[in-house]
Amino acid sequence: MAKRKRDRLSILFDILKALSEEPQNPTKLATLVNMPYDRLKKILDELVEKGLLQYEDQGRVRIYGLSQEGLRVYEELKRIRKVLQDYGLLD
Amino acid sequence: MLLFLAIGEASVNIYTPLLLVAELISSAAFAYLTVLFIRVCKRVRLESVMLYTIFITFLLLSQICAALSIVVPSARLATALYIASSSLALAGFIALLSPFRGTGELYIFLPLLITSPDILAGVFSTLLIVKRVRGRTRHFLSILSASYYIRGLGALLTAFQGTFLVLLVSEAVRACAAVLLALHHTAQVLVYGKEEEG
Repeated sequence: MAKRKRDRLSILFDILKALSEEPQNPTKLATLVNMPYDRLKKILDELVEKGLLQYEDQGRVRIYGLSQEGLRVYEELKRIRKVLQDYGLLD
Repeated sequence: MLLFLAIGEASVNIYTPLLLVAELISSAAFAYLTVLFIRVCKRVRLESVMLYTIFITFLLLSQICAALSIVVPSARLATALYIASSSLALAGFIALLSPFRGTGELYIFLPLLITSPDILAGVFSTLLIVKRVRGRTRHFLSILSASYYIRGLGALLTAFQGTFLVLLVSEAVRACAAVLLALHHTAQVLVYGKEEEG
């Protein structure tokens, strides 16, 4: 049976979870959250714009981490995760 | 026999406060969840969180109506609140049954669910017009009533034939009727105020 495509909320949750453990560069993060680099880069830009992520340029590499706001959202998403899963709104 | 009657009466006396307490507890819990989800919704701006936020908000409103239906003294008001509670819950469930997420069956059942409140609104507004309403209000309410029937028909046609025309017409008719009715009553109130001044 074909695997169901992950919804945006699950992707967001996976990104926030990975970055809550350790700041990452996009290439490593793409591996951790199992998605193509190009798609991930777009999402990271959106999340920076929403104020959930922040980055630091270390030479040619950009390292992404959670902002204070991002950390708060991650904590709240963890709290509501079970509810959303029960309604099939989150994988 | 007397003991049996006394127990029965005591049960009824206890039932209402217990029911009210249950309604208030669930209302408070839903209110907490609503605030939490609105906060997350504002930050992540994702459709799935928004749908759940809408769902839980409607359930909260439904619970508030249910709680109020217990405490209001008027039987008529209690009935109105009772109906509002189920209608609001229905709206919440429909929000979660979004056709974007479900199977093909939803395309059949969802229009029927959406149509049913329109048809009921049409039937009851017609009953109101026939039995009660007088003057120009009767004309404006008739247009509003007709718009609900057309809206129900429009929802079905849109679902099964993919044509938005009837739905668009019904929405326009409903909006116009609502404006006419609102302005008519506002004018009545304003004229009354002037008469009082005179």
